Amino acid sequence: MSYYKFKENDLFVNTIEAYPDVKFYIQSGSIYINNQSYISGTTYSGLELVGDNIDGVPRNYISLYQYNINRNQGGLVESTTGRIYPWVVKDSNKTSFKSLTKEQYNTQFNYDGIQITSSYNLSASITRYRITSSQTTRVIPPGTSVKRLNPYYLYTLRNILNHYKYLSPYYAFSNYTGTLADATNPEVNLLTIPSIFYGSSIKKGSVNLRYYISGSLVGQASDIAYDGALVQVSGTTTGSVVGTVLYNEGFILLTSSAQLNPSLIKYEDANPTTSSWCRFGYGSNDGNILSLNASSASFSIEFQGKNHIQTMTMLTKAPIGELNNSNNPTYLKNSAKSLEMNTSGTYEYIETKRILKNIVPADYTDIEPPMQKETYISKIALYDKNRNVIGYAKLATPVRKTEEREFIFKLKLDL
Amino acid sequence: MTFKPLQANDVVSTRTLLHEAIPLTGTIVSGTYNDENIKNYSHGMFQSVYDYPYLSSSANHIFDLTVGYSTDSALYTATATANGQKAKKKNIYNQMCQVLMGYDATGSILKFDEDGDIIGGGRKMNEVIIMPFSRLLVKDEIKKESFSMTLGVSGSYWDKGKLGKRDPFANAKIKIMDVSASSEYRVNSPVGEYGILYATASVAGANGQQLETNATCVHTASIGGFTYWYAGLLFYQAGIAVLTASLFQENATATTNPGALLKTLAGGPGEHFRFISGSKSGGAGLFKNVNEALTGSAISASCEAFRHRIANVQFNNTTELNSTVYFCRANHNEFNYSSNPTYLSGSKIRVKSQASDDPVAYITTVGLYNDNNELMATAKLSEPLKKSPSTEFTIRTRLDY
Repeated sequence: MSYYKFKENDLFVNTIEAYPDVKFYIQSGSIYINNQSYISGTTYSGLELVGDNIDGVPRNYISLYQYNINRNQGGLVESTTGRIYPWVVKDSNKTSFKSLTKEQYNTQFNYDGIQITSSYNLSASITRYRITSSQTTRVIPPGTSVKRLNPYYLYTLRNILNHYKYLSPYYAFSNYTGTLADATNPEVNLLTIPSIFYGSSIKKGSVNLRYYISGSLVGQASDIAYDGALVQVSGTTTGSVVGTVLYNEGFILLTSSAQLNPSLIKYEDANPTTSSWCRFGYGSNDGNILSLNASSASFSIEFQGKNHIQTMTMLTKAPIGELNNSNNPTYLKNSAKSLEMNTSGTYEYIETKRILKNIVPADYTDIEPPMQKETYISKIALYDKNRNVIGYAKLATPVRKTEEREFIFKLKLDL
Repeated sequence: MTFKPLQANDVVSTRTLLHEAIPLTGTIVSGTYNDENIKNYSHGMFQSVYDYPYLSSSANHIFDLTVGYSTDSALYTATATANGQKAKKKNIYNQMCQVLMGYDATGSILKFDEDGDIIGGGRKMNEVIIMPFSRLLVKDEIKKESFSMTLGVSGSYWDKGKLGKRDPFANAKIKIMDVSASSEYRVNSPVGEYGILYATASVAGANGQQLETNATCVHTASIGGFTYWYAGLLFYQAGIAVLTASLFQENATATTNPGALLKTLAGGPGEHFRFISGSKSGGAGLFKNVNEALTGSAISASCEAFRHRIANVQFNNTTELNSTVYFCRANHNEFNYSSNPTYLSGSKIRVKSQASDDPVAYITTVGLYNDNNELMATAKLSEPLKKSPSTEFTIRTRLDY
């Protein structure tokens, strides 16, 4: 076994940009994430149910850690399954959980080593906000807690939307407020996508929305110009811009109220109406109670996320004329004695000669080929500066190393 | 926006510990999923336990199970060469010892020591059950003195509901804990710190002696005035529990066995403790005690028997969170102006009506820059802080990594 030090050109760090596919399929108030079905959990008698999803989060939601699969909420009872939960000790580092407010942290816990606990099964999902002209109130009366109406979510995007005007004029915030003020076209359909689904941003041009009525595609919109404007590519109003996408922030805004299909469907309104992009995603965590009639409308949102993964590449070299000896006991002929067998006297110390096994391949069985030093490289170890092993790279099959051969092994490590 | 260099006293690194409470109840390990969450491999050297049927993508690996013995063990000698995966049990023992205990001065592998005192000699554990926990559960390490495991030690697990005999958990349970390990752990392992696992009985007798445990056993220690039985070792950073197979040996009245941890209950020698059942239908002669299981059965059979005795495993893990705190100090005469375009109105400072007025600014963001004045990170305040020459702030900015 020999040690080699990495040189300057042997180590480099790259960033891989990965584009994971994400798909939501929304039908009748259910959201199927990446076409996965939900599995019901076990029912524990007399205790809280795991629910209708083994992940321990409501259906339609993704579980952040995927801990506590099919586990009961109850405490540690041997006959049932308690849940894994995190905790920290309150101390001068002031470490806490984000779910606790400053007031809760200061008032509900002492400094005597008390545990601050939280819970897992954190969840996230897409949410739809339908913003209409009837909800234009933007002033919260001082001192009162008024339910924040949907327009607030839109108004928080004002700076962001205006910032992207350089990409496309459709981003201008006035387009959206215009629709709010306009009684004939009073809608914005805002879909929010949490970043756990896409990573650092949504890949430009990858968003593809499909609107189905009774299983038939009635409209499809995608960002064909890669500028963030969603253009309808199939259906009645093909070619028109129906909305925009905020790629870095994970929002989809749809404004088109042009009819996509004449079928009357009971959406949010009192009476059944025809379908338009402003109804897209109806039932996705928007607080609506769906009627049976609405189940004929279904929606799919497809896009690609963008993840950055740093990888370190290490070039390890096996030079000519080196790495041709092994400390493996099988490297010696079986008649060779170990090093401990030696003779020593006052003036001499002689180690026993050891005979290496000749493993040079030969075509004939009765003639031994000329001896050459050969080894088989089976793994490469990575050491830190103190010569502690910090990683191993194993080869699928050992590589034969003769004195004439040289190799470069390229090792990759995701950081 | 103004730059201000951070001084040596403005930066401090801290480390905080995040823990998780990990309950692994017996119903996960054996029961709820009809062993669909147990993966056995064709090599037969260990079995893996999942928290849900392992064919599901939702399943998480929770721990592995295997057994091994030393060549010094009488059971090794007693095992026929071709029988009971003899070589594999030996290799597993040696490999785990190499990794977890290391070598002595002559290069020989150190064996598992029941009290961790290697220089002092003492008793070795020659037959062990090994339980490496998943890194998903252990994280950086198991928290010391948080581990407990309850094992059922009555009957044979296939007895339950079959022959009307003993349920593994019905009469006797023992509890295994790393008692006082937060101060009494060992550091002489190549893989970090380890503690001693001790067994106690779940029910105490009239004289304070434990019911299931053998009072004449030699593997005992006294901690805080109580007697505990040496049960194994727990490697905190590696996340591996090593349990002695003596846990399942009984002190038969006919042949006194001071090495056994269990005492014999009513029913006579051999009746009390059947580690493994040869057949689900049961019947005389089909049961094996722990010695017979190690010498005459495959590794998976011993793992099965042990797994069905797990009533509960509970521990806390630890994740180290490293943080650097930057104390960003805004003195009374600093950061009172802004370069924001809205700070000016008609080329005049908006907040001043006459030149002698105090300037006012609102701090919304703290930017952290490197030596080349490149922005590395920003810290946002939940609400803007009003800054004027009459106020002074120290903003504590914490960066976790």
